[in-house]
Amino acid sequence: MRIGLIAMSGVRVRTKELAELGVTLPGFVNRGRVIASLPSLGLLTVAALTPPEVEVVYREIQDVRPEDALELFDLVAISSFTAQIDEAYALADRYRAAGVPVVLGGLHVTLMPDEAAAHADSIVVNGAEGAWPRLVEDFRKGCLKPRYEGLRAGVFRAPDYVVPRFDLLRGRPYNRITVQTSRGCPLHCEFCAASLRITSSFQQKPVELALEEIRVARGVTEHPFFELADDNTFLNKTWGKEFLRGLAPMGLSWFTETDISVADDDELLRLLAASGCRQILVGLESPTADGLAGIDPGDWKRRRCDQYLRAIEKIQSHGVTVNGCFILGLDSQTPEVFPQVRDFIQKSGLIEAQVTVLTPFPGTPLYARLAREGRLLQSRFWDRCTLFDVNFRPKNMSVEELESGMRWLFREVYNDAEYARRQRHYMELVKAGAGREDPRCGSRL
Amino acid sequence: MKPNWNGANIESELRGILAECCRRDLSQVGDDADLVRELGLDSLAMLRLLAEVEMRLEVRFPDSELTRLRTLRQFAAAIRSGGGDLLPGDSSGPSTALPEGRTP
Ligand code: B12
Repeated sequence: MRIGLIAMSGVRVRTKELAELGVTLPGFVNRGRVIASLPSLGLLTVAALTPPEVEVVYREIQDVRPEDALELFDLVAISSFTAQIDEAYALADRYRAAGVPVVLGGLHVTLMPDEAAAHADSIVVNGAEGAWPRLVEDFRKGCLKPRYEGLRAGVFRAPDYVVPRFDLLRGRPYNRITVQTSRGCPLHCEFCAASLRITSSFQQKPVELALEEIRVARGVTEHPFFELADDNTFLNKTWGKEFLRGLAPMGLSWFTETDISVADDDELLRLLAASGCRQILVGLESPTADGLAGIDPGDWKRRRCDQYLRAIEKIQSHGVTVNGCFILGLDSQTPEVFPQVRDFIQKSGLIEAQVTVLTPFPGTPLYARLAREGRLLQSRFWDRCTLFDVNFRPKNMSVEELESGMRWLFREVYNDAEYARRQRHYMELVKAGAGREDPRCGSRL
Repeated sequence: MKPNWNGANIESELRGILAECCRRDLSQVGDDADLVRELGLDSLAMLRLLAEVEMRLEVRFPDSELTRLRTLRQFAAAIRSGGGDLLPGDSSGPSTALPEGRTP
């Protein structure tokens, strides 16, 4: 038996002006290029959960163009994020019309199961763990069920945990490899459409399992740069330190997402630098405390806001750069937010910044609230869930103000001069000795 | 005294620095080879390399050139063209102090 695992890949922006502007801005293009080629860790996990006697073939969507003849399999399994779900459905429909049964799974399918079921012989909600082996077994017996529930907890424990099939990536030109050490995040931000939506609580891999995965993954690429596909890696500082001590001797360069509280712990910062962590991405969301009101149910980010500048400086002085993320269009923001974000980025010395627009992904509390308040521009806009296209009416500005403010800010933040200024700032940090705790600093890049 | 980088020895000097930083034998890497691809450097690693070169050769690359410098020949040309020949505070030439608005 042969199963085709098809990943929806690539990055997207719909609004024409923004797409055109985006390709001309160096800061924007570079990050896009770096991430556009990440593999589907979800499907590598599905592959690992497949019984070894079944052949699996891993494909990414650019390998499956509509004009090409379909590559036939006994069963096709497609992963899903919201922005490309209509392309995934179209592909599923083509396969089913050709007589190949289709399974859909992943984040979007979990958030919108009934919609997805119309395009599949079977759907899997939540993680593939706890569902996929049963599904394959049923399929072989000819009794595939229309829906399977994967695990929302205990995903990283035997017998359901597996090491993703990184070997399937061998020979492909990835400049980054993803590994996941945790799922979920207790902050529960209203807008979040990430792994929090497929878990019932924060799940973390035991340190030894996380390290072992990295060891396996590093065997498949020549110059691996690792990106942890986590939402908040260093929530648990004790776990974090043990993980970093294990990681340091591997001599890697890597990136992850976490929250600003890493700055509270000097030892953690030293270990981060020593383990080769080059950048952490932190959701700062808004430059002022007022702008952060109500983002997470505990108001944690608002309480942290006045420490942002000091925290960024402290983290970066350890040689770990910060990629600060800002969200435009939050209810408490007025048009003043655009220059405020620009000023904050300049003042903070952030080496990288990511500016996106508030996006009501279907299935999130934000979507439900904006729908209730009659503020969605359309009820179905999945291909516009790109984090750059505006899909709702902001509270304290018009849609046009939000769109043009965002374009203005993009020009301010991602132009040549600003990009060069941030690069220079990083070089000066390096020259001043940032990251000297890294024993490889100065002798290995 | 600051070294004079008008001579022909820059490429070999640079090759030495790179070999040491990357712990690699660079004899096969040509002057026009794209270092990012050849050495598998990410964008931050490239900047660390530039910083290392600036420190060791006591030069400063123009900020506007940083993204464009990808080969040994380009490094050398930028140094020779004088864009990078003076450090801030060096009284013998025009100031290359950091751009205004830079964070402390
Ligand atoms: C890596 C990544 C990418 C890669 C994806 C590569 C790929 N093909 O998978 C790239 C760079 C291509 C990418 C692109 C985009 N991304 Co992205 N990305 C991520 C990131 C950082 C990690 C995802 C990951 O690897 N998770 C780990 C795996 C193990 O989890 P998983 O995919 O959910 O898989 C599990 C289950 O869902 C399930 N499962 C998944 N697929 C399947 C399939 C089957 C058949 C079965 C049975 C089960 C199953 O089982 C898996 C194991 O439990 C997340 C943020 C984060 N920190 O999580 C954002 C994230 C997924 N991206 C996001 C967005 C918005 C985008 C873009 C729209 C950006 C843009 N403007 O273009 C595009 C959309 C691309 C698309 N296909 O639609 C959002 C998605 C929200 C949503 N609900 O859709 C996220 C959550 C970030 C965010 N800020 O909210 N992204």
